[in-house]
Amino acid sequence: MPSFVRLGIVAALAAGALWAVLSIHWYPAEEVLTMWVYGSPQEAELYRKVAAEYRQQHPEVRLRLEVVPGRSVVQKLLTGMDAGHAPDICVLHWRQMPQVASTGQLLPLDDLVRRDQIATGDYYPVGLQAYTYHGTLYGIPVKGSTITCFYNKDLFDRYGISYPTDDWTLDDLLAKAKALTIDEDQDGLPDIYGCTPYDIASYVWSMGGDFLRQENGRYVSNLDDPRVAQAVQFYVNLYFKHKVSPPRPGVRSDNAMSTFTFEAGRIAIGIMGPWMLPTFQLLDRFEWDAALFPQGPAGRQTRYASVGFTIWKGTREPEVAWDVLKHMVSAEATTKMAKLGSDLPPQRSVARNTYPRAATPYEEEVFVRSMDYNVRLFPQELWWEDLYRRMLDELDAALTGRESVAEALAEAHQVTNTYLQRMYAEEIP
Amino acid sequence: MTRWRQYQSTVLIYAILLLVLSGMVVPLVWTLLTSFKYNVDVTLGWIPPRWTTDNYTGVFRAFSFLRYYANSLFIATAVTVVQVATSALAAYAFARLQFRGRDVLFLGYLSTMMIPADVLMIPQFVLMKKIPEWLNAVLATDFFSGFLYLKSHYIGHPVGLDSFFALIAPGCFSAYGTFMLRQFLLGISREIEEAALIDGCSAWGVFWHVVVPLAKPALGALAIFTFLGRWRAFLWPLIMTDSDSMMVLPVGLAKLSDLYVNDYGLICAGSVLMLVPMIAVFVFFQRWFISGIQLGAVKG
Repeated sequence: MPSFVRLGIVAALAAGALWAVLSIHWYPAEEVLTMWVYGSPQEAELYRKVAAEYRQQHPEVRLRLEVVPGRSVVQKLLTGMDAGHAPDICVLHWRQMPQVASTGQLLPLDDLVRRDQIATGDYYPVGLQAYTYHGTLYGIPVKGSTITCFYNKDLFDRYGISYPTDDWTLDDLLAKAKALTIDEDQDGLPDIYGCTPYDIASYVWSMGGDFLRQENGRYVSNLDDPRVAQAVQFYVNLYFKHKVSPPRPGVRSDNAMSTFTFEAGRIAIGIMGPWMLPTFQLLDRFEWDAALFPQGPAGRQTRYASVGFTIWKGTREPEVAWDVLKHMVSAEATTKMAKLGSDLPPQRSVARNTYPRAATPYEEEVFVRSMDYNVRLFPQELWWEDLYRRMLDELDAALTGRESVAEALAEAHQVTNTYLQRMYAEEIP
Repeated sequence: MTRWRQYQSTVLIYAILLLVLSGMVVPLVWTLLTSFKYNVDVTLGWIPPRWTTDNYTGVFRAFSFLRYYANSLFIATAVTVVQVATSALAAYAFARLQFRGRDVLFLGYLSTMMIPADVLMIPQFVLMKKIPEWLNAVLATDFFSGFLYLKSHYIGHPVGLDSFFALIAPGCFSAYGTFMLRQFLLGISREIEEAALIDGCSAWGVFWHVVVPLAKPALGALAIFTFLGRWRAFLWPLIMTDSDSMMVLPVGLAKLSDLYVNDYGLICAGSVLMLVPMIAVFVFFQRWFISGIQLGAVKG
């Protein structure tokens, strides 16, 4: 490189650096209230708008909203809390709650809720339970939903199968799935599968079983309950005996490369939830609709999921943070959130007023009705996620055909009890 | 017969290479094609049934893409320049200069490679939080906890959390880089340096006029490794930054994923955009990149 070119580059860099240094301004630090949120880009945008409204109403509050990655929020949050530097307000998914609440770093909200007479009766009880850890309320949900079904109306019509109704059962699900598992090109392999069953928990509960039970105030495995065996057998049969669900590598893992998806028109009944609505709204290849999860012998019992706002105990401004939180979960805010169409508002009144939305071709009211049944949570315990993962890993042996359901459940039962005994011996919170 | 065998082995080698290549290229092609699909079409085969560029515009709407890009580029470049410089100087000292405790110091420095980064996360976080407080107290000022703006753009605190200092300073020193360059420098003939010394060169002169030109392949390789490592860094920038304006591309990319529901088209578009500079770096510096790999293989 000629020396004059080299000199020119150095001079340009030096000039740029000088310009940058001369353009830098310094402002004194100021107290700001920080709020972390996460979600889809549309949700993040909505949070920004709602926070901007708060700033407009309360110009004296310096509120800063940061969008953070949802999957790493707990790691970032716990590091900050340990070091005494965390956001005043933070969005948490209900399954992230125990990990954060168990550190004692979240502000209890019971007294504030009572003092300000928040209409807790209007909330779906399960929504508040999701943010209750060991009897103390630490958060208020902003949205939530439970498991429902989507079905391909074109396939039902083409093969003369009646649509699911509110009183349909797990046996009906199996019958319809069998009738809609179709080998269209007669090559011996299905081109359309009857259903994708989603999470196993709703089947266990709807059959009357549960993963754990309490004995003398302590959890023990309930996987020896015959109703659990019945539910797991039903679930495994969908894959192995009846072959009405596309093969899957494990209970916890879907086949990411599978082309057997509801949106591809290759699944007749997709058991999922309203969080899929933003995706399915672009689905114009076939007619589809939504239905309730089928009932089992113990009724319709499905899993809840929600996202809510929490406050850091170390906040310098707990009252202001509480005021911001109330604004973020207000009926006005949750109505706007509901209109994005991915989840229900946490308040019954808002859910009933918001749904069904105008101009949706599907029966959106199903998602509201689904909340009237037994909507449940996993135990809100720090150790639950780890234990559940281990349980399901054992059940993989049945789902992949390596062991019978009875053998896999016996293993899972033993693993669960050993885990719980060790956990109580070590006094993990 | 020999020719036939040669032909067979060539075909076999090419078949294996093609297989390995497809393992690398197929995900890239899938990512590229998916970036032009609506989320609802992602599982409908490889070719998008409806082509859309919405995902690319969506990435720009989802976060300040250009700002994140600029941050990543600035941080990766600054860390690379400083780390290569400090590693080269340290490597030269450990390889050539004679001073008491040199080998113990080198071993001590190397042993820092054994400490998992996760263990250091909270202490480093606390350190970054305390630095402005200490500096303010010692210098009786509030400068270090203030905010800096370049024109109207927020550029973080002068030091501490949410500052470029936090994103750049810890990456400026590398035991790995020092080790790698020291091993390379040990392979350079001492006679060349001695000749320079006899001609009147100082130790610095030897380093600058003799060692650095001879070590260019190793310096280039270290620069590439460092740049790529910083360009992809996720956890440290995630933990260290608070404000949107200070975040980097991998953090922005992670923001495109929701907790349980993903818009794959959007994520793929973000990934493609993020890949471009890495491909450029590789294409321009692949000669050094390959020699760097060989360096690690034979000198380690």
